[in-house]
Amino acid sequence: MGIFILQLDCNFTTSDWERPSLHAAVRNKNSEDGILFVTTLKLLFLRAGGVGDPKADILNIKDIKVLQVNKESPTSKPLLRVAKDNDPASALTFEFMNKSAADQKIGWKERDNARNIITRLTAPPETNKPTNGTNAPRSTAPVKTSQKPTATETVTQVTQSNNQPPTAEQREREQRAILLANNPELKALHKDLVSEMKIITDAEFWESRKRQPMIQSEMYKMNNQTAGLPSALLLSTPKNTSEDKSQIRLTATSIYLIFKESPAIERLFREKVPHEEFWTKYFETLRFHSEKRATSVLAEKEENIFAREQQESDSRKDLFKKKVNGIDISYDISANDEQGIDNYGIREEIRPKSTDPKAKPILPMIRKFNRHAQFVLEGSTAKKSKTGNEAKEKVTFDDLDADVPSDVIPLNIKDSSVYFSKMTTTSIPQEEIEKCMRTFGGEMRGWSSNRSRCNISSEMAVAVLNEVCNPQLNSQHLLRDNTPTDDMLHLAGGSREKIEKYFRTSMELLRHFWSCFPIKAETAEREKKIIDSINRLYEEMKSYRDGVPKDGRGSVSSLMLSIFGMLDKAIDKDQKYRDAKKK
Amino acid sequence: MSGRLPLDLLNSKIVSFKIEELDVYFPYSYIYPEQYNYMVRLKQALDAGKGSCVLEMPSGTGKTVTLLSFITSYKLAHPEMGKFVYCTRTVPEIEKALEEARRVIAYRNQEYGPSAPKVLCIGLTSRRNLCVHPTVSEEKDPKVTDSKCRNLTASWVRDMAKDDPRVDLCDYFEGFTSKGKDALLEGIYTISDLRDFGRKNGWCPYFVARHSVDFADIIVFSYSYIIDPKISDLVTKEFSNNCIVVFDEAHNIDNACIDALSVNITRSTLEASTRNLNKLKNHIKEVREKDAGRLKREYDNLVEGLARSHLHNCTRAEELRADPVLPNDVAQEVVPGNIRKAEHFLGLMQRVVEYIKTRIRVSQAVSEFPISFLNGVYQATTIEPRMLTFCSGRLASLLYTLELPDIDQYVPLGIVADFATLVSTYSKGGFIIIIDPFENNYWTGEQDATLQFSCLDASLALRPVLEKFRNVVITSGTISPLDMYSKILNIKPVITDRFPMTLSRKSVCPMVVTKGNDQLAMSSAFDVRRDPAVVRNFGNLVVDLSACVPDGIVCFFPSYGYMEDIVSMWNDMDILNTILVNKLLFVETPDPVETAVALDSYRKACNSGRGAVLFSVARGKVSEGIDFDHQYGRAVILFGIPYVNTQSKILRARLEYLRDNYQIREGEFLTFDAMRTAAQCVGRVIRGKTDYGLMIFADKRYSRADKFKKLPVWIADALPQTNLNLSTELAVGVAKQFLKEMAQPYTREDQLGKSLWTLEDILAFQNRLKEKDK
Repeated sequence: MGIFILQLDCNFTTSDWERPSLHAAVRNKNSEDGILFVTTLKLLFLRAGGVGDPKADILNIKDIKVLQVNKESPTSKPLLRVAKDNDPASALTFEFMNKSAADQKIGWKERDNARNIITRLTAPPETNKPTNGTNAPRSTAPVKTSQKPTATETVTQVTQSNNQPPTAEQREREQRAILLANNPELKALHKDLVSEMKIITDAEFWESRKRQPMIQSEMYKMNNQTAGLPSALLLSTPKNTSEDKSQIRLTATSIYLIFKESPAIERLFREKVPHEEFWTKYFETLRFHSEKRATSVLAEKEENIFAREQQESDSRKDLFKKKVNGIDISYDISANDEQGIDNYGIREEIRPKSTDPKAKPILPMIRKFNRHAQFVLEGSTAKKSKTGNEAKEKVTFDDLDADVPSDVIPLNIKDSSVYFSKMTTTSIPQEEIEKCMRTFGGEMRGWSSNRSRCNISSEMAVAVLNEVCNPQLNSQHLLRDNTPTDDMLHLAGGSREKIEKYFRTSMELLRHFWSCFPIKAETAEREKKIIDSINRLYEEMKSYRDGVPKDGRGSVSSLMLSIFGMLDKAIDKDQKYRDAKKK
Repeated sequence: MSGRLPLDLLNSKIVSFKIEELDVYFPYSYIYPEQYNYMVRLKQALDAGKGSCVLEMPSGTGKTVTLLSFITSYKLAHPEMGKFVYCTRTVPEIEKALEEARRVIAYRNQEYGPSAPKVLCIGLTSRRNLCVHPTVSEEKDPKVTDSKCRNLTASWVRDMAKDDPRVDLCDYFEGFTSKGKDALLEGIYTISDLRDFGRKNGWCPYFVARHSVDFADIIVFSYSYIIDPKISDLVTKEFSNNCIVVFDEAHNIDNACIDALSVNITRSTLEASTRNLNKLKNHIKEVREKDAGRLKREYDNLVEGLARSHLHNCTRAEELRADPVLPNDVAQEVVPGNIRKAEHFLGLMQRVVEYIKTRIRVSQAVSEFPISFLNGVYQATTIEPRMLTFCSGRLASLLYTLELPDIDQYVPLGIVADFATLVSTYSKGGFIIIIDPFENNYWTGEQDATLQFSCLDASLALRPVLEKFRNVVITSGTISPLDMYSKILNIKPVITDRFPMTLSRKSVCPMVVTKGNDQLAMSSAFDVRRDPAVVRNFGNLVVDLSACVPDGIVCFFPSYGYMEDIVSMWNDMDILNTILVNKLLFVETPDPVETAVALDSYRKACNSGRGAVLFSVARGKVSEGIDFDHQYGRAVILFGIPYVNTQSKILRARLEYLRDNYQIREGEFLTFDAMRTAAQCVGRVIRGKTDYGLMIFADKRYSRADKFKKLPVWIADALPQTNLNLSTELAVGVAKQFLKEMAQPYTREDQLGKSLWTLEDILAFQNRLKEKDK
């Protein structure tokens, strides 16, 4: 039996559009220490040293209606109180801790910071324009600052003044704000073009996006896709035959999944922990059962606390009965019409029972897989299958019908990099890979002259080579953003962002440019404005390209070539239009 | 063939068209050429008068809608025709057929307007599926549902309730008896419709259905309602002779016929029978003390008439199974005097049970013809065979007279009585008794045995149906070779035909994978089937395909035992976990309820885009009733050849019988049986011509001509020579190529004229034929 080394990573997972904005050491009202995370979507308190009940300490930002802070004074502690409504039961109060005695103000600073962030996130959308500094107190925001009767506390109340349901316009505005908040690139673009350069108006900016699924309200909901649970069994422990050690990376997510899948384990965990080797034992048991070593050390060891859980599976008949009632009869294979008496008809040959007494019963294992798959399926938030009469849908032949139904669900992948990278996890940071690739490139070029110095560690080099040679990972890097890998990798840090920004800006401008055609009286002026800015951008890009140091210029210009091409098309079109107008 | 112009040519869509002056109402705008040709052949068969026909039409080309649309149109033109009885195998199929009927009739009504002829189309299934009673419907065992229902609805229970308000009755049944009996339903009622209807009106859906069957125009139910004499006598006896009976999905009809006349008894059945006998004795004693007149009345009835004659008075709620023998073979005699008294009859049954108990104590398998068994009975107990023929009827009469609650507990005795009646009625030939010991419990070494009374001749049960009804249509997507069916069913069909699939793109991709990447042959042949290398190769095939096939993949194994072994080995080889990286995994279990839940989740996984792999058994429940069309099955993998268990003694006896009576060689029948099962498994993957799917036969033996030639013509035609001998790697390559082709946009224009006809195409076709005739 191997020795297991566990790494406990207590990072809570965040969805891809959920970005942590702040984390701070706090103490809650029960005097438990922990860390407060504020993300764009929720507020989460993680206790130090224990898992606890996570539900109680998560509050969605959009639910926060009350936010209170106390006044800064040398005698009081920095406190923050948030609540869903006026109900004190839902309220969470945190005391911000001072990490060092040297700077007593840190707690207060962080508290204010948190308050600002929450205020910003909860503020109605139109105030969420990135025109203001991030942490500055908001004067324009419609946040009612009222003085509480006690006068010692400043109460900042974030309340929706009217409880009427939001109008379509409000909802749209809200969505825009969320979109901007979640998409920093779009935010930057909006800032540049609308707020600063004023080339296009806010309405125009959104108008051109109206047809995009993101902004359409129903589609927006759909777009809020979360990746489901990973389907691979967590218990598929690595099978090291050569080594006597296995390393398992145990994260908060995986613990959560284990608990969810087998509540018995969670029960045990609550009972036994703190148990020195709870997880080690758990994985040992798993491996023992998966390798079914008849004579194992474990068999003779102390009574295994997990032995019971392995057997618990057969008492699920009633659950099945209940479940089967919800199944459409056209797919319910248990709805047989045979008379339910086995004695009529030909009895199937009885299979001789396995003569090997050591053989494992197979049915529990099959059930385990079925249960796991059902668990994964129920856990994923993917679109539930349509309810209603499936039989009706099923009997129609769509190609015989005159009207082809168009209920095709479009493929909806919000961030393609997630799609390619979710399957495998890589521990090597992207910068390291890029750094190595650059070094290798330099190495290769400088091979003969023997002038380059290598400043990366050999382990890292081997790891990167492995990663790059692994086809799956390779494709992950290749497919990233659909840009040529090597060109992208050769770029120095800043130029990549710069090029991406140019790309986005020119795409936005081009979209507006082409939407002006055919030109009418009311669009003529707009067209003029946009083509001017396109020309300006063109010049700017040109000068940037020429300013790039010699060794990177090749890749920069090859990347910018297609952007230039597209801009050229627009300038040509404009030229033709003007020529035609003159004639 | 005439080509008179129909109503609407403007948009050249099919509204209705004519086949030789017959208006056909087809509920779609387009039609597949197969469907048209099928109708033409069907018409020829129906026009020919009394007789049967056997037709094969590729799976997924809309056989059901064609049948329903044509026969209802035919019935409209020929009002003298009787009911249209549509039989299929499983409840899901019944439900789907009814949905299709709804479409057909709705369309026809729309065409006719207010003057549309009234039609009642209804599905019938057991109480288990129709019951809406809050507690009874919770039961999932049909036997228990029936019995619980009877406890609430029998006439004596209702009589008791009149005096004692504490006695429970079923409100739905009461609702039906007070109001529903005179109701004249009209329209289409699927099983779920019936349940909704029952809930809404407070009428029991089961009894509404039973009641309506008598005057419905179209009836959809499973084979047993017409083939199994125990049930058909209660349900379909009164049907007129000029009905049209269709057996859809009839590729397994021979097994259904054999099952209808077979019965098996184990030691536990006999033990339970003895307990039943003791219980009945006590009951008789009680009744004699309380109400001796009841038994006297029964006795008088038996003196005057046949065993079951007074059962004709019983209500539908009280009825038990009818005689297990075919209608013509029921003894038309008065019950002999020495079993007219209840106690005497129980004495006779006691002796029969004891005799079977002694016979079942064997250490080796014994097979025996009924005549010698009867001789043995006579020698040991001096019971004459003639007496035994009355057992079933006499027991039914007794159970009815005693007014027993929880009738399901007397099933074991009923089985013994049915066996006695069967064995004495069919002592001539075509039947066999096999007593087969088996080890019940490995640990205790406890022995048990089955006494199997088996019918060997599938034609026996089908014959009364063929004789009685005007037209019998036997059809399926996979009913090749056709002549084999006419042989084993002993029918002389008027029309026999099979249709190839017209395709404008190659939308099915059959291939035979013979070896793994290590060039080691793949096979489920007995000597190598548990070889780890072979099992690993099978596993790698699933792993590789699960990485490139979208949505659902269905894998079929030849038997449940083999699947268990393989799955267990794959688990040890870590293959299952590798599959899980790509797709979710569901496995069929012996419990149908559990499997139904797994299947439901499988479908959800396919719908949500997550994708899943389903492991299933070739002759199991899943392979029989569920279609894996579109996203539910983009690939079917068949591991090995699904031969039936050749060690089975019953199969051996049947093979011998077929050889002696029908000149069918053993090997020929076994291959035929395996290949029809294989075709059935892979055929479920396609429905409609926009659908597409991979059909992967993973066994080297499929590449032999004697195997793949036995596949239905529409699958064999799509199987090119180059796909007959592939390794896993090559197969994955072919699959990728195929899926890429299928992903290209496919418009109706590509199909029109070739695999899809408009009205113009039909007319052009008819004109061409006319010119040819000239």
